[in-house]
Amino acid sequence: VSDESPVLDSRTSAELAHAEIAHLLAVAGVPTLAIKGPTVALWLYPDDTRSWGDVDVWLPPHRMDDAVAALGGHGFTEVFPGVDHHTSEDHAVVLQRTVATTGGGEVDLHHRFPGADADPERVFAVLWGRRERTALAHTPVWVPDRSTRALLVVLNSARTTGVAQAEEDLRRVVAPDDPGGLPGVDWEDVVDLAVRVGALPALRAGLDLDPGGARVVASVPRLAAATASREWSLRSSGASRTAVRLAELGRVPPRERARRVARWVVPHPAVLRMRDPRTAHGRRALLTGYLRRLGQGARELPTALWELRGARRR
Amino acid sequence: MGRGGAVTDRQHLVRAEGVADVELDDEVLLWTGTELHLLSGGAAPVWRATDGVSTLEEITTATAHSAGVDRAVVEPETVDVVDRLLSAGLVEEHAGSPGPRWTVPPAIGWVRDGDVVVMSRHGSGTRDALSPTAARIFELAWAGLGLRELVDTIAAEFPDAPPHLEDAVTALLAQLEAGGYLRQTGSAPEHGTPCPPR
Repeated sequence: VSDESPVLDSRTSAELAHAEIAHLLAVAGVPTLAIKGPTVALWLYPDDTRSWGDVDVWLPPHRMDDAVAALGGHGFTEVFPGVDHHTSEDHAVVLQRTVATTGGGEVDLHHRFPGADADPERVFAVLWGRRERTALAHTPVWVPDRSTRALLVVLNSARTTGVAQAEEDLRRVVAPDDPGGLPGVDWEDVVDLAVRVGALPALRAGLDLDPGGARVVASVPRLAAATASREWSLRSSGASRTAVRLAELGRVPPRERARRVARWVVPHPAVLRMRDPRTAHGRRALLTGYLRRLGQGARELPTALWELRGARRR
Repeated sequence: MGRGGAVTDRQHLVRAEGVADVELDDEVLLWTGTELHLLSGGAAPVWRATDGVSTLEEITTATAHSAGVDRAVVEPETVDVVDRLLSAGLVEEHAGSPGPRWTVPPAIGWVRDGDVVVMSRHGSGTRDALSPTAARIFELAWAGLGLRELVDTIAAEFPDAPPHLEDAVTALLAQLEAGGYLRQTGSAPEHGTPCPPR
């Protein structure tokens, strides 16, 4: 056994990191699905051309505290102090263990996935019921089944337009099956799943981004009959964040809407410090940051409303 | 379906080829291609413990450990379950060489990277690499070979192996055991307990 830490290629390092997180959360009794990176690379890229680095896992929202505590016990801390599932509206909490010898990659703990709009606890329960077992670095890992993976690839593409890797993932998942049987997606089953987790509008918006996706839409009547919601039309067309957020408010209940608006206009100080590091230097800097944010929002509002009206007309 | 003394403590219990298993929370569903079997209650942990290298004795110890009870509590049911699995053709008995065999603790992740093996301790993330020969010995131990088979395999694969190969292999295995990267099957498993950092 070497006395020095080995220099690893990124793939080896990533596989070990994924295995470690799966093991630690399993020991803590937290149901965990590995998503994104390896589940896409090992499925859609038999040519081994897709890199995977950071760890993305999905867990039930009510177990987030347990997961953060379990990983915290092994040196993982928030990348942005104070920004977690209690203070941020983001769909994931980002942790990191800043020890060079252990890979040092980030761990994204997802408690929901943008585009799957049903109750997040229910969404996870549905996906957990369809999970499959695999192994990474000879460690048992639970992953979503093929239909779920296909759905997540499309949803991810719909919210990250213009990102080359997401576009290539989408192109591959909607391609006709090759002689080896890849990608082998049962799109009827994907639509069933999308209906159960409230993801049909986002699924449709994502598929519309690629000619292969358009072929899938044409071949499945329920998809052809579905429409991309305004929110997802805006997202997939690369509209401003403000316009997307305004559209998002349209689908949430009034009480939740008020809470979201409040959190949006006046985010938690930890979130503001993450977005605007200048606010980290005392109360006056923080107050200035909030004012700056309000000013910026007011300036962006006319454009956002124009984008929103455009989406309404489409 | 009686045991009839057929299962011996020195036989490795190996899952029959072509049997697929699916975990369903506390149960395990087996598919042979023609039949479905649902293992519930005490049967599921027994199936999980048939790792291809463990004997009935070792499976009983592992099952007792995972249930947190004395092995005397689980032994009758474990013997009965193994009998049933053998009768149904879901597991088979394989003869193994005498002497110790090894397994990799669950708190160790490992990957072959070119001609080396890289191991990681889940919990600390500490990583170590094994040289090509050591990597091969580690893999063979993980695959369930006993010491004699392991030495013979290395001698065949590495013609330039030193004359006292068995001593060298034994020393390396002891080093890997001491480091927590291997443990002898039948010794107390560390289910769910990450190895302490070095």
